[in-house]
Formats: sequence, C-alpha cells, structure tokens
Amino acid sequence: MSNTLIQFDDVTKWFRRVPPGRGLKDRLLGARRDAAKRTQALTGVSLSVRRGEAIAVIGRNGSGKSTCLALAAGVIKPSLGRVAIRARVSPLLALGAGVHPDLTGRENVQLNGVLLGMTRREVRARFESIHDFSELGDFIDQPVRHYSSGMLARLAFSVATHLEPEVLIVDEVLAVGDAAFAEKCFQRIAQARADGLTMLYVSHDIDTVLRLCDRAIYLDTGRVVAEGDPLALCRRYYEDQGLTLPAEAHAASSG
Amino acid sequence: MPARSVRRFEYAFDLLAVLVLKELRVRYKRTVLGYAWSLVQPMAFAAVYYVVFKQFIRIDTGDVDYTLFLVCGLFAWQWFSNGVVSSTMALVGNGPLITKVSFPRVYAVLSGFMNDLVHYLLATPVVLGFVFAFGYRPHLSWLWLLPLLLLIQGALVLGLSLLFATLNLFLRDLERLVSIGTLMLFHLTPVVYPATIIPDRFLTWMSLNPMFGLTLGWRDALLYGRIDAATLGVAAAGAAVSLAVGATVFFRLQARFAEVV
Repeated sequence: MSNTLIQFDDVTKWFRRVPPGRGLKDRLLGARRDAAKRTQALTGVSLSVRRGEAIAVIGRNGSGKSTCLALAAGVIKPSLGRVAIRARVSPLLALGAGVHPDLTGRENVQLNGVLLGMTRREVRARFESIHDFSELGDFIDQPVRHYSSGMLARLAFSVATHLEPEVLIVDEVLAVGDAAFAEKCFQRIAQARADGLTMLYVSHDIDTVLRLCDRAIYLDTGRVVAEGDPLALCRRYYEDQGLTLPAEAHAASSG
Repeated sequence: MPARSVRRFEYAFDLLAVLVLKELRVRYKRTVLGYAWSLVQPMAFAAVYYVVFKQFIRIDTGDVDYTLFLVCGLFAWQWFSNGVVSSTMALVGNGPLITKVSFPRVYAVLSGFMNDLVHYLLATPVVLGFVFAFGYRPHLSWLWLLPLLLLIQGALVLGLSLLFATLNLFLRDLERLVSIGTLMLFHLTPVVYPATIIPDRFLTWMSLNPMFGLTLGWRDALLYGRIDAATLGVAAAGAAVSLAVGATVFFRLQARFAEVV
C-alpha cells in the first residue's frame, strides 16, 4: 500500500472570471468579451501528503490555500495536471455545510455523518460519543434553528472529528465555541495526530500551525514559494509582509 | 474485497435514505396539516376545475364522472410538475454541500426525485379509493400496467430532473422557464379535458408530449385496466430520450458543479 495518500502533480487550476450562471443578460452582454479572462488560482503546484504527516498550507488571502484544499478533498478537479487521492478524506472545512435548520441536532448528526462518509450503523455506534463531546445535552433533540452559533459549531465539529478519516482537512475552523471548547477541539486533533492521523491544515493562527504540523507549504499568488520547516516558513511569511512572528509563537515552538 | 463492496452498497443506500428522509421531514415541517398537504393541493385544484370545467363550460367526459376523470389524471400530473420544478433547484439549493463535500452529486437530484415518488405512491390509495367509490372494479392487468406507467413516468421525471438541475447551475433563468413551461404544458395535456375534444390537426403535435400518453395511460389503466400501446409507446420513447439526455448532460458536467454553483 502506497504511503503517499494525496499527490498533486504539476497542478494548475483556473476559474472563469465571469462565471456562467449569471443569467441571460450577462451571458449575452458580458460573457463573450470576458471569456478569455481567467483567475489563475494555482500554477504548477506539486506536493505529496504522506501517511502520518501534518502539512500546513500558509499564505495570504487569495493565495490559493482553499483551492488547494478543495482539490485535495476531491470537490473540484484540476484544470491541468493530476491530483491523486488514495485515502478517505474528511473535510473539516465542511463544518456545518450539511446542517439543516429545521432538523433536530440528532437528525443532523445522522445526516452529516452519512454525508461525510459514514454508514448509518457507524453513526449510530458513535452517536453517544459525538453527543458527549458536543456537550449539547438535551438540546440535541431541539431543531438546530434554535441553536446559538457556538452550539452549531460544537455539533458540526463533534460529527466531523468522529469520522476517523485517514486524512483530515482543516480550514480555519479550530477556533469554534468558547475558549474551553476550542481547547478541547485542539486536544482532540492533537490526540488524533499522536495516533497517526494525516492532516492538511490551513490557519492564520501560527500558534496552532507550529504545535500541530511537521511540514509547511508557503503559497503566494497560486505558486509554491517554499516548502519545509513550519517555523522557518512562518517566519518568512511574516517577514514578507513586513511583520515579525509573534513572540508567543517562538515560545511555543521552543518550549 | 466482498466486505468492501458490501459496505459501499450499504453506504449508497444510507446516503440516499438520509437525503430522502431529510426531504420528507423538511417539506412539511412546521405545518399543521403535514403530509396531508400533498393530498390537499391536487384536491383543491380538482374542486376548482370541477366548478369551471363541469359547471361553467359543461365539458363532456362521456359516461365517466368528471370528478373521477380529474382525480385519475391530476395526481400523476402533480408528480410530474412538482418533480420537475423542485428538482430544478436540487443542485443550486445544495450549493454549500456541493462546494465542500465530495459526495456523489447524483444523490442530490435522486433524493428529491425519490421524495416526489414517495408522495405519489402514498397518494395512490386515495386515487384507488375514488375509482372504487364510483363503482369501478380492480383489474388483474393493474399488476403490470401500473408498474409500467410508474417506470415510464419515473424515467421521464428523472431525466428532466437531471437535465434541468444541471443546466440551472449554468443558466439561472431556467428556474423561471421551467415553472412557466410546466404550467403551459399542463394546459396542453388532456388532464382536465378529454383528448377527444382536440381537433385532428393539433392531435399529432399534442401527442408528442410524453405526458399526453401518460395521462391517457393512467386514466385508461385505472378505469378500464387497459392502455393504448401506440400512445404510450410515444410517451415511453420520450421518457427514454429524456433519461438519456439528462444523464449524459449531468455526468458530462458534474466535475464543474462545485465551481459554478
């Protein structure tokens, strides 16, 4: 069995700038003229995610991080090049995407669990554990539209982290709920990492990047600028923007 | 390997099941009448058509009572029109899901289709109740005629659903066109009037509409236990084309769904 779970070979991805689907008027008036205009999201990106690795993808807004994750999750296809996915990938970026406000928490756990790749039996077997982790108590049988946004995040996160995926994709979602719950989420991911979970991680929270990841990829305008040690790359990323890395990040990495 | 394919099958079934359950739970949630709405809607229209076409226009449906005549065609039409109109939104409405989770996209359309199919099947006892109440007897031929009609109309609705759901991602005008189109087609389909009043010079064109043959088929099957093979054959051909075109368009374009939704 191959140890490379996700592999990008010279991947380029562009999006049309005036997306079709804006209606007849735009199509007739605008589409033809702008047809050649493309937004180049990624250019010639090659990377491989090996079993047990945690890779951070860093870069400014619009540098192609989310496109990278969407390709790794198999949601979109590359325009050029090849993306090979050889594992069960769970996108934690899907936090709440499948939650329906009129269904109860319990019904949503089942719906989301299955959407993210579990069978109903597997969801049932994990339900108590998901329920406990979410700390939602009796609210689990209330319609989700009565939830606060923090409660909603708890529910979604609890489902997503009970999937036991081979590769977990995390897009800026660890800071959910209150401080205690955010720490609990972090601990859960750290534990899964210790147990050998492979992870692709996007966050602007340098502290968690340094604590969780053992390799980093630095993207700028869709190209891989550098790849390697997270601390060195984070430092370079900050310097490129005329900033210095926050002192606490240094402390976390050295201590 | 068998264990793996069993799980895959179980997963496909579960995915469809939870999505259909979601649709069923959500459609009439927070309404007092709940499921009864799927009966109230066609019955309310039946009442209005009865007043307008029977009392005002005095339409002639031979020895078939007009109420029964309506009921035999309206529920099948309701399935067609609800199915096609709601599935036009099936992909656009599931946008957040499609852009974030890589589940097989066909389930987004399939679940809505199954939802409307279930509603139609649940309404069937009511239709049969009317048939018996007006003194008609069950026919042995129902055993194969009703599944045949279900199959043809199912293929027609599913094909159009796949087609419209996909094209609506690229051209949102389609939502309006489809709802206008189904309303126009309703008046061009012999649901509230018998096909016998259509002048000959229109008949050929009218019968190219697959719902023409299906509406006559449902009515003939329910009342007399027979169908007109030629008329239903045209409908079946239309349904086959619809499914082939719908599936082709859907699977050709599905890789781009997450980018355009």
